[in-house]
Amino acid sequence: MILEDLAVRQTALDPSRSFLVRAPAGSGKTTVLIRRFLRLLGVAEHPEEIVAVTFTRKAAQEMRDRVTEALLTAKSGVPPIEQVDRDTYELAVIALENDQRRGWDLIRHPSRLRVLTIDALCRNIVRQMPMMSGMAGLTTIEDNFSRSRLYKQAARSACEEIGATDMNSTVVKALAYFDNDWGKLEGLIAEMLPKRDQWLSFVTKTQDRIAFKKGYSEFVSSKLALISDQLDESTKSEMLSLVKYAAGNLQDSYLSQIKSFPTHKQADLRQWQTMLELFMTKAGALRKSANIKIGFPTKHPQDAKQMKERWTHVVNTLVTQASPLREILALPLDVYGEKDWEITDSLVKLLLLAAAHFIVLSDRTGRTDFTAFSMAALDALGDEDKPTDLALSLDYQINHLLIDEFQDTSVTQFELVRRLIAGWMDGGQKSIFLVGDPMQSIYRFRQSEVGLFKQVADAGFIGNMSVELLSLSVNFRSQGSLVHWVNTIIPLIVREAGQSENYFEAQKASRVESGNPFSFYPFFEKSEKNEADQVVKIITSIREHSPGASIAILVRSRAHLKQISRQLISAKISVSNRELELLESRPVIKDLTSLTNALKHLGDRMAWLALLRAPWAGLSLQTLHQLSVMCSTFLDALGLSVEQNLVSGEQGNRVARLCSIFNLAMAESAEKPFSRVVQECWLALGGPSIFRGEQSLSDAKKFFTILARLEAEGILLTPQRLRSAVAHHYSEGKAHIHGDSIEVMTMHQAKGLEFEHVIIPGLGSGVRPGTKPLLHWQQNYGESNLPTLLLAPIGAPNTENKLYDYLHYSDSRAKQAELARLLYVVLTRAKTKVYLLGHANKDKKNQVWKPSAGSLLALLWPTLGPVFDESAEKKWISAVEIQDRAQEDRNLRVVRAVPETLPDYNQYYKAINPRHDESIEFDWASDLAKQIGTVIHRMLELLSKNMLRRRSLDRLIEAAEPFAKNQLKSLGVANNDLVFAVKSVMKALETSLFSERGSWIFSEDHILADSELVLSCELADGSLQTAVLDRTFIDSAGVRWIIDYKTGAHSGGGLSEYLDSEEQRYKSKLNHYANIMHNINPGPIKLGLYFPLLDAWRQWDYQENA
Amino acid sequence: MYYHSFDELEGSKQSILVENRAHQQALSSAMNWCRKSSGALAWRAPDIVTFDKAIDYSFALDSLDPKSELRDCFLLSREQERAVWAGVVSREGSEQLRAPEIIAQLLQHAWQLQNVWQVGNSDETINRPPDADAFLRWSEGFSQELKKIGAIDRATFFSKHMTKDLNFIAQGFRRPSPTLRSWLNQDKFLWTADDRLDTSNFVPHVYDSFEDELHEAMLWAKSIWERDRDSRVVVGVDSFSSHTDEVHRCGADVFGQIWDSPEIPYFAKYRDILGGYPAIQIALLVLGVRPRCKWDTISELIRHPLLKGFDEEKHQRSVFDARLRDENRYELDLPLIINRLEQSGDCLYLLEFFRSVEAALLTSPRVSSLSYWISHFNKILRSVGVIGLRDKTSSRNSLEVHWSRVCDQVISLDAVMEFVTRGEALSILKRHVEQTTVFAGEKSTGIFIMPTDDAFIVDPTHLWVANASSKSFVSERMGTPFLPINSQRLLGIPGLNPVSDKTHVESVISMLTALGTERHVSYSTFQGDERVSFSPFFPKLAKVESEKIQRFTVPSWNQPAAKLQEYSDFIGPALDSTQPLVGGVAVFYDQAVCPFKAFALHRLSATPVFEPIRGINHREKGVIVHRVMNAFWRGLKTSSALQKFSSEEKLEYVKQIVHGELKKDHFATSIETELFKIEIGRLIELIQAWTDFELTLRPFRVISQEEKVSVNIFGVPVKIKPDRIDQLESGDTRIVDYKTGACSRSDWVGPRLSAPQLPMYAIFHPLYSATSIAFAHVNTVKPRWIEVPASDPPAEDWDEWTNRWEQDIKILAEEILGGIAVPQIDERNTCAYCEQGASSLVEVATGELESKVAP
Repeated sequence: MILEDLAVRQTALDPSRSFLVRAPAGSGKTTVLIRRFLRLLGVAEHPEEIVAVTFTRKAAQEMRDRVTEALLTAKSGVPPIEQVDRDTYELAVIALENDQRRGWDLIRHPSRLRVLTIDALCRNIVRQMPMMSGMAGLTTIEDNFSRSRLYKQAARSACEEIGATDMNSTVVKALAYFDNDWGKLEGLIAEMLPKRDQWLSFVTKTQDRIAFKKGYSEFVSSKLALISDQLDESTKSEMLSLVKYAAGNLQDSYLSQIKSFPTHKQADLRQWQTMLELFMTKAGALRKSANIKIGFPTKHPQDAKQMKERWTHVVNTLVTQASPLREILALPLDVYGEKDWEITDSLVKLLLLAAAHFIVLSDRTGRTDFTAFSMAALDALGDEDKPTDLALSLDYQINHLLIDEFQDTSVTQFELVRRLIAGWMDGGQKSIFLVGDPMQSIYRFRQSEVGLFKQVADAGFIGNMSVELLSLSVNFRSQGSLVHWVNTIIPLIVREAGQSENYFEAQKASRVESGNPFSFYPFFEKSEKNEADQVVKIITSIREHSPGASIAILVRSRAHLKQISRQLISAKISVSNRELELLESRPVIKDLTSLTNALKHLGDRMAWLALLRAPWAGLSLQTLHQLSVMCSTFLDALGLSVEQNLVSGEQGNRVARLCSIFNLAMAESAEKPFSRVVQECWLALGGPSIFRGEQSLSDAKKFFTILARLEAEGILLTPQRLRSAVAHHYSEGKAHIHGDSIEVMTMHQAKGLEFEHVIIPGLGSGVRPGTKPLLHWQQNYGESNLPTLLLAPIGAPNTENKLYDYLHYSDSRAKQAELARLLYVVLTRAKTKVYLLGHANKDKKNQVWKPSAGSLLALLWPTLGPVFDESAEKKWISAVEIQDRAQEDRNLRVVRAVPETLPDYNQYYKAINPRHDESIEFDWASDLAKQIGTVIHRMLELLSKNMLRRRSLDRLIEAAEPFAKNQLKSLGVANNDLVFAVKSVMKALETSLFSERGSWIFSEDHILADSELVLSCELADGSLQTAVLDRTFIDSAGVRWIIDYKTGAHSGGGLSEYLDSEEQRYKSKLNHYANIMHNINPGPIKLGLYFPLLDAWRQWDYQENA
Repeated sequence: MYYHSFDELEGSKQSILVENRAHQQALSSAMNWCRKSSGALAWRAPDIVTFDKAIDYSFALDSLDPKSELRDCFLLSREQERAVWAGVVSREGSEQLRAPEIIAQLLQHAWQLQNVWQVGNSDETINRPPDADAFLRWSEGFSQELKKIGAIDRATFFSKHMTKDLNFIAQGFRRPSPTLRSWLNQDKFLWTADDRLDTSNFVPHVYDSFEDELHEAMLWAKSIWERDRDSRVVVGVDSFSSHTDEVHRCGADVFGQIWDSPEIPYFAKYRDILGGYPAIQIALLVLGVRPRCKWDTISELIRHPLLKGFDEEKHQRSVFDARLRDENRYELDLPLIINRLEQSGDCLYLLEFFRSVEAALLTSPRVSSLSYWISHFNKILRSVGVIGLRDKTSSRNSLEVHWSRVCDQVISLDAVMEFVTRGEALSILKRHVEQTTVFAGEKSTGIFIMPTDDAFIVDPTHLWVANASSKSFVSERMGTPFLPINSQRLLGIPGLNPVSDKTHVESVISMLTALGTERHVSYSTFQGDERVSFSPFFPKLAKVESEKIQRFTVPSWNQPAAKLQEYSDFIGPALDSTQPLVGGVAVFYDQAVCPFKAFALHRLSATPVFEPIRGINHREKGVIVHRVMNAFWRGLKTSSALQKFSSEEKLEYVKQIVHGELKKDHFATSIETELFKIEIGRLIELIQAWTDFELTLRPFRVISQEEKVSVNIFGVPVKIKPDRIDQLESGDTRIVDYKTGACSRSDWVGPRLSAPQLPMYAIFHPLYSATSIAFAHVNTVKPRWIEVPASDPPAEDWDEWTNRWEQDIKILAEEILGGIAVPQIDERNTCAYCEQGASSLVEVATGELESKVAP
């Protein structure tokens, strides 16, 4: 088959040119990318000079795998049969030849292929300049919980500057603004921190109210100018005359002020809005009819009818401009008043402070977030005009840059790419290759900015490099009629979302048509159960007709899924749903949470109640009530009731069992990491015997991992922290797999995948709106083409900030546009057919309402709305019926389960020995003595190794003193103790050198002399022991001596008694040494204790087996 | 192995030089095992020296030579050196630098590279990144700093002196350094590795997750060891530090209690972090107590099972802690805690503990030497009974030894550091504790869980290489960030040059293939989200991917299924109506929301523990508003009195009331003082707005405020306390409830009233017979009055309302008396968010208990 866009695909391989490739869904985007990569490998000098950037690790891995796979196929020498694959094969063969020529051996070293995620790219850049970027030693945190903790801590620290002299008024103003609600302010600041790469650069600049006001004025003018340009003169004059007519009828002072068509100055905004309100409602919709309220009476003497007709004509003309006109209506008249500015200024300062605290916290913890790395990477590369050495060096290393999913780039990431290629010029050895589809940009929540794609496409440049726009137009994925259907409805959807259609391009199908591309199942009133039933029916029918076809259920949020999963399981349809159910909602996790909280806090009666009522415990409400009145903690009550036998029968046995388990666990908690205590207690209680499903066990495992991690990070555990640590995790959901399973996932997860049949339930439901951010901002370009900024803080409780509302409105419009793109993404996942399910509500007059604007069905309404009217009568379920069903469900719930038998818990605990407080063996007070002892031992070792002998004694003493001093100092002897310590050491050394005993011990005449000799032996019980001998030798009589130095000081009388006691104390130790030595070298052995500070000596004979 | 025989080593008078203590211990274990198995009863232990020791030793010799230029210098330990680095780093360029401690560590590493291994970068001046310049600048600063304190750094010393002395055999480097490699080339190393790259004698395994893999490997290790007590079984992982959690969990699962019991000569754990032991944790918690402390630290400490007096007091302490939290103080100060403990009369040990800590804190200076602080810390620990630091999870007293060693290390920093504050001293100590690893003891045989690259040092008899995936094997290596990459490539530093990587990998593999008699290799198919394959360095094993391996289940988790009984248990014991029920009208309120919640809260006292927050919580704010309003009308009594005020007078009166009503003890900390100042401003504004609104109402007289009376509501004895009762001009009586949050008329529409208080007051108040009830919605933006019966037409029938309420309240009372505790399941899924959700068992009852579906 010859492809219509074959030429385009060939052009894209040219390594000397740079391209922006627009690749709609199913057009084989990744293949194009892989081919280009292979093509470049065929000409490169080093594989490292080609860098491919993706957005997820999964995508990076897939790409690397596919390149390696192509190289392997090329190596096998067997060309594929399909023409499409053969092209890739040929490119791979050339790449492989280059590989062999240059000795890369990529198949064995695939890590040389530089396919990176954007985050990894940032980290690589930063790591090359750890000090200059200030990121040395910092690592990123992968875990959401730890990250949000860091943000919260930074926000809190900023708020805690409330007492500080220079920041007090700022924090006070902010807090007063939020009704002294610390938690709210802290939360709002924390939510801003992950996005600081976007606002930080703006707010660090000097804040000037006049400049902001001016910026706004320019912004308004540009908006008005734009709309004014788009209205033709006749419409303008018609609008003006209608205004005058209405003003005459209404005697409206504002309306009557409009004498001529308003200009595009900000001063005329009021007039614009007054004029537009004649044609539009306050909500921004075009009026359906003109009436007396807006100055068009029905019974006007002459021209009423005619004027109304003229009015209708104007409204019809305005339809195409509805969206920008709505925006004009939403613009506030006056901004940055004194008070507004004051609070904006305070909040901005507070944000800056929080960002600074974030850096301090990162330093302290050694951990930071991705944003910090991307900001640091930008810094490390320097400005476009002033690139850093690193930028220059990277410039030298990278020759080809490929970026996948370009539509998902954020402003910061785009800037990074721009700086990375700042020095590149056309016609060099370098190329850039950007691939994406603006219609598939669905990651606004990750700050992706779809406008960037258009910006590059329009400009034809990125940095100094010119890029050619290529469009792929053939769809390989979907069958013909599905492609046509999508081509027809997407423009409607896009228009419904209020977005211009220029992102969408119709595709040509490469597969033949095979049947109806979609089915729609309408429902009246929301009933997840009914939809779920229908989903089951659809699956059964698909299975009947085409067994083995891949089926996916795509939902907008995980909340939509609970009912469907339940129905699927009961219909014995296996699902593979990784990460769809929240971990915290799993019963096993609820019980484990109670257990953890209860063991952590005996006074947490709520956790204890849950623990004692859980299936493994099975205490009845009667028993619990009995226990609860006994003592202030449940554990006490359990103990008391066992002691006095207060609960009888089967419940009594349970109480006794629980009492033992918890007491054992509490005793263990002093000795083990807490996470392990919880796990053992859970096992002892019989947790796995109750929650037996594989999914529950893997959930439990995950929970213990989280707990262990919290502990390792030193986070003091409270119920709230535990809850938020668990909150971000999902159950792995491996359960219920009985053979061929169908895929269940969120729409975002489905991106990049394809299935034969795609079922989309819950189209009628919206999602919960997210919280409003602390600040909204928008960058614009004013008259002089210099950037200006609109910045507004969220309104105080129960009040509004008009500029904020306007910016929020712009933001929601962008969200709505993204919703349309999301719908495009899901519809294009299907290869054969799409099944749509959605509900709409009716009012009392049986009139069907259009679904809420946040739902997908609202976008499809022009196409699917009529279906509801047709089927309105037959499928109506009365509200009473729904209520009855709910009641039915409820009755089922009032039962609970208790296990009859549970495992023996004793195996999980070792026998507990009573703890007894032994005396401390540590002598905390004698640090100095220890330090002196250490240095003396070291000196004597040197002495014994004959190192000192070679020198004259005077010189030796002269040399030894500073040495001893330094040694003592480095051991941490305080300055005021130093003189004494040095004296002691020198005394010991002198004694050892000059005394008779010392001279003998350290004599060079001994045989097999050794110092600090290490010996090992095996004891009778099989264990191993090691001994270190201070000094040992064989004297002239052939006797082996083992001598231990004792550096203790003794003053006053009773020296002899002291020495005797020391001999007693160390006798057995030295005898043990002798035992070991005897095993190695049998012969007579004598033992001695040498006291160099006292010049004293004790000795005795060794007797074997003594 | 790398060396021919141990005899050879023993015979020569050579020392083996190893990188660190871990290697030293492992090697000495291996040698001990060798001697033991040859039948010897005792032997001379091998002379294995760490670098530190070796440098110490030779330095000692040199510095004693009067001619030596080093005579007056002293050598810095690693910690001391790092302290100097940190000093240099934080002084210079601090505006650009973060984490000076960590950078210091990196710099130290780089310094050693430059000085020990003579990795120069002078030839790369042109292409050198600015970081290399920065490094050179700092290294100069470092040299100057060393001169200032009269010290010599170990790197310089080593490069100058040690390399001349060839009496050492270097051994145990995981990554051969350039110098070491040159030694290798000169045959000074006892290297006998052959070129066996044959991986066919590895048994391959594939798993779903790393944890399954590790479980299987550990089970295998256990079974081998149980069969053969002389074996040394190694389970190799790619990086020990990044898998600590999994290793611990699997270890505990597979080995049970033995995992932690070094007394049994059965298992040799590779290493553990000192800071992870409960005993060390509590020591640090104790030392963290300041005159003012965050509540969570104090709370954790109070309930710590290792705090002395545990057995007698643990329950009392939990109750005390819960009570202390109710005060909602984000920061607690010691006198306050001591005062509360004295009042309660419980927890005598705890009282003693806090008194001792307080006394110790009083005596300490602002700054002092580390030696002083360490001895001060130890004194505190001893005085409060956290002594001995005994912990059964470690070998006998080994924690004491380690603690003392860490203290010594910290003290040794005095040689180079200036005086520090208590906080700084504590953070230095903490850092050292975190960095210290604990060895469970030397073992010649047993099971070793360790990095694969290190496996050769224990000479395993059996080997399992886990995590041999394409991503993790051979583990990733990094170059140094401080030298130009080109130089590093030239020098063959691993991680930067594919050729040197390959050499390194091959040497690791050849080492592995030469080890042991039985070898396994495994990997798990998923690493995070990513799908991985077998490491390409096991070329012949790539095909095993398709091999089907049974899923592994954890034995101790493999409990027999419990047989379940089903029964209904949502009715508790009936209420004893002779006893007063604590909770007042709130019982009815909660009963209306959910009978189960009401039963749990009021009959079982199952309240959650309160977590104090920074700032003033909503509940507290509401209470303050009630108090202020109460005081306001206590003084005025009638609305006509209010009318007489000029606006200035009214403002003055409001200010007076608000200031008078805020408790003085709220102003405990500077932050709280500021917050309450804001609150005062806010309250004045709020009360002004509200009383302005009250001026617009019909005239009234306040006849009762917060008067408590006992009533019996259909058999349920409760005490009621209406916020305010007004008498109107008409003689009618109105009962008022102040509300600062959301409220509406629908709260009074049954059958389950969401706000039954006012209807109850209206019907059952024994002293006043009400003719209307009203919510006073106190707020600044839209103050309003929600009233029944509505005064505006259409006028409502009061009797009709009260009759309906009476019926609704009667139902609630009957439920309460009967002990009804059936959860009220709401369509909006509120049970999922309810605090009592875990005890209500709604989920269990809906059939999610999996034993039912499990085979």
